[in-house]
Amino acid sequence: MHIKKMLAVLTASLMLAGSLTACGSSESSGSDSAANTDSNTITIWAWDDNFNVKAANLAKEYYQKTNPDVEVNVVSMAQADIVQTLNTALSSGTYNGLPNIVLIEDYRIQNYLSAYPGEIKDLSGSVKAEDFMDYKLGVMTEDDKIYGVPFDSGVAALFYRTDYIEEAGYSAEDMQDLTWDEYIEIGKAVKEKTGKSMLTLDPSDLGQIRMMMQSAGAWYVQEDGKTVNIAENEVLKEAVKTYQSMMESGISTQISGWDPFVSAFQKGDVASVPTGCWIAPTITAATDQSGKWAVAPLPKLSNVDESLNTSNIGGASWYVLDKVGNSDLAEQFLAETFASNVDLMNDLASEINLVSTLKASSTAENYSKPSEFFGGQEIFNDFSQWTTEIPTVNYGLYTYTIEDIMTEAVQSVLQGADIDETFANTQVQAEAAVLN
Amino acid sequence: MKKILHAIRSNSLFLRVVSVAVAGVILITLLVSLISIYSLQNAYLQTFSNSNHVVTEHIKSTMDRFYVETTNVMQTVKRSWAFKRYLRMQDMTTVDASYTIYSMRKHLDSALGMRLESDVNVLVVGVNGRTYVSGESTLTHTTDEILQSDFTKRIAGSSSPVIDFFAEGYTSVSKGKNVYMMGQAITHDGDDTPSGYVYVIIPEETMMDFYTSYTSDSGEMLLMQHDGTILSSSHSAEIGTVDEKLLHAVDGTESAELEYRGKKVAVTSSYAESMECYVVNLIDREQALRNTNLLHDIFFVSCVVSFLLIVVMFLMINHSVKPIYRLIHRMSENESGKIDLTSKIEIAGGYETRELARVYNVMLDDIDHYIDQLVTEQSNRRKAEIHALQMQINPHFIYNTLTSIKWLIWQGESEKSIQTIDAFSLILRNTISNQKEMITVKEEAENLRNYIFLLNTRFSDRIHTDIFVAEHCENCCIPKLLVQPFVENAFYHAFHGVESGLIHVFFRKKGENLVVEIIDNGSGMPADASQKKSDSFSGIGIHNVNDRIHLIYGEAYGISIESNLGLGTSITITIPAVENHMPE
Repeated sequence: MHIKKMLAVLTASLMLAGSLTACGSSESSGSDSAANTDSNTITIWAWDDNFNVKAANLAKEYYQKTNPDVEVNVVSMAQADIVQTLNTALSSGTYNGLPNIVLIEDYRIQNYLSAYPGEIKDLSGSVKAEDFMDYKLGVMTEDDKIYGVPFDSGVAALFYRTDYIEEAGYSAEDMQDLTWDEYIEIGKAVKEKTGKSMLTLDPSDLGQIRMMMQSAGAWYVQEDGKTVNIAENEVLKEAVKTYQSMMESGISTQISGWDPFVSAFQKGDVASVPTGCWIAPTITAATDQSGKWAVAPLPKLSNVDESLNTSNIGGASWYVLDKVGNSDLAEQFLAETFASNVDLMNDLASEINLVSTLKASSTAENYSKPSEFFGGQEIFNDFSQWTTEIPTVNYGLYTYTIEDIMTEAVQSVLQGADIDETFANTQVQAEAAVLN
Repeated sequence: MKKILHAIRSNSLFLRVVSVAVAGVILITLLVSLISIYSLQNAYLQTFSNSNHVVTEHIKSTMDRFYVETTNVMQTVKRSWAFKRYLRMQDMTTVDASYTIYSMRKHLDSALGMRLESDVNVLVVGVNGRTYVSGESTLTHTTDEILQSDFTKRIAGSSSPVIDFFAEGYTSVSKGKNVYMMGQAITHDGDDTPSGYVYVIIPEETMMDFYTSYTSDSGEMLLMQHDGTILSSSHSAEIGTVDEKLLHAVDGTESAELEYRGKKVAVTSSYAESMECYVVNLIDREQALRNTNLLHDIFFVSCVVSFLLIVVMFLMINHSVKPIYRLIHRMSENESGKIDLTSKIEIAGGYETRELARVYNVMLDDIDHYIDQLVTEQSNRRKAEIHALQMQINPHFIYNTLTSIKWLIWQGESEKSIQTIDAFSLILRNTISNQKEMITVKEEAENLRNYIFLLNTRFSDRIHTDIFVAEHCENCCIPKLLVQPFVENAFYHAFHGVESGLIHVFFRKKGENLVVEIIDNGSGMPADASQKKSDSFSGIGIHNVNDRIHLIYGEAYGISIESNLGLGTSITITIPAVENHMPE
């Protein structure tokens, strides 16, 4: 009987062992295809390698000094791509592949806040209104809640080639507090004496017109941000008229796209660049032109009393996508960097010529530093000063939509159509587009 | 060790059955598993290969559509009056220029679409040096460099789009990255030379997007140009290199199975003619199979099933075989020689074991019966032997006695002759006619006296015999003619050369035994005394008597002889004392 019992036990244990190993190994290989959400990684999307992306990377360095175990991925993408991807993802509710922090242009943020409520994180806990410049907070505040961290000042200024202006017979003083009509006169002289255009104009981009509008506190929409304001918009009409005379005066070179815009001044083909201060690092990239540039306040509209010698163009802020995970970590990142760190702002001033909307940054050392490139001018002081004077405007939800239609309208006007008639049509079109 | 060997041997039937069963189960399980694994693997790989082919075809059609879109863009540029103006007109008024550029942009945007715009870069370079770049990219080469490049020259010489792989494109989006570039010359009616060239720059990421979502650890994908250049792959180091082996595997000139990066792979592909590239799928068969956990699952199931089967079988066989072993055990108990014929084996177990037990029991009964028969036969034979032994009367004795009687009559001793005839007839009656084997001591004594009388008659009176019978043993049974041979023997042999002699016969009880002593004072018995005399009474010698006693009473009883030469002989017969209660 014993032998049988022995046999039984032996066979049984062999079989069990066999099945357990098989079971075990099959289980182990089946298990892991778990999700990739790493609890210590945040991703940041931004455009413009020379400006925003550089800023993000510098912020990352600062942050990792005190938080070395957090991984920060800075991804550079074209703004159009970012906008498209965000829209697609947020409207379908898929968060896979979305960043934790995203840079959004001020013109656009209202769209996201109203179209996708709850997607942008409320950062009131980390952002104090009194720390930042008012005009910047306007676009990101709703019901007293602040939804982003203001970043750069898009304060507009007139960058110009001192040597070309001199050659045309003008001085630095002559360039201060100009009106656009005066600017056009100078441009004609520059063209005549140096053969260079005064500026470049892109028919598909109405940035010039936007700057002119905001300098007088006007926009495509009324203060409520919703009512289309075109047909009755005197400021806009004045701006378009100014634009037209700029064209007709022959002082502009027509271009299309970013590349020719940049290469124009980098190659020294234009005498001035009236645009946001964020163009500074791209200008200074042409190191051979050091000392030949200066910055003056933006010209104002000649026939509009409210128009000031300052405006805003572009500018963006940092936002946290609440549902992408790690949103608290992302908020903490922003709180420690862009929302408070004056040293970071100081570094960014010298690295990318950032004019920060953090009020405290005006105390930073570099802000008082004279810029060799710009002939020893303390450009940051100027920028900061002009920023405080920017008229606040409610961009509303439809800036780019309306501008698409406006571009058409401007062309019509340029071709000789009556401005009032055209604008009346545009108003209708815009209202229709907005309603949809 | 010995114990184990013994245990194995004593259970060899069970072990053999079990081992055959177990071996059978394992063999079948193995066979079935192997066959299933083999066919499943094949089926799976076939399906896998097929679905991969579907995938490559799908990717190919996606690429074809992509091609259509991009050629559409290039066509738009070619057809656009705005581009035509932009590329040809030297001087335009600002307003004209503004409108032209505005329209140019509009035309292109509508053809490009938002998706395509983010995937590729469109670059238009006019021979007049005017450029247009889509998106926010900048040029990384001067217009002269671009216009003088080999690629541009190739485009100029071709009427249809040219597509090729480059380590670098012309715009910032492709800076330092591999690109696949399409280019076409822009010619307007009536012109021989192109007024410009339109390039669609496809960065490697866009190429990768075509197939990347279909890649898995068992099926790697890559794009390969028609000449074997790797356009896009997850192994970025390989991009731009020419892989002839893979090309041959793909275009059918060589086997579709090859070794790639140390692994055996099967290659399937689809050729996107438009884009002039192969969508290649490298199937790592082993990895695919590993991912199915086929082996593990089947192995696991086989083990569990065989285990259960074996356990069940074991129990069942054990149960069936147990009665046999019980039988064996019981039977071996009877081995030692002392068969207990009354201890039957219980009838239990399956039909076979019950039959065995039943037959065994029957066998036991039969043996018992035969032994009884044997015993009976033997005893009968013994009786017959004894009977035979007892029934003899030597014919010589009769002749001699008759002769002596005749002599007596002849001598006129009529008295003596009458006595002698009486004695003789008594003796005859006792031996021949009386069938009884046992007689009483009294009767035997009587017989003896008659016999002695006869002997005295024939020979002389010089030998005197006395017979003493103890009172208490008169009725004891004694075999017929037990004592007679000794008396006869004494008569004939004891007194050679002696004048007279004395023979005493004593019958008495000693304990449970009847003892008969025949004592003479003769010359003793020589060792080799011949037993048979020609005219002895019955022919039964002394040795026969011993045999008879043994036959009747057993070995415990018998005869003892004590003889001293010159002094005499004493013969003691010992038999059990049995009272005769039977009527005469």
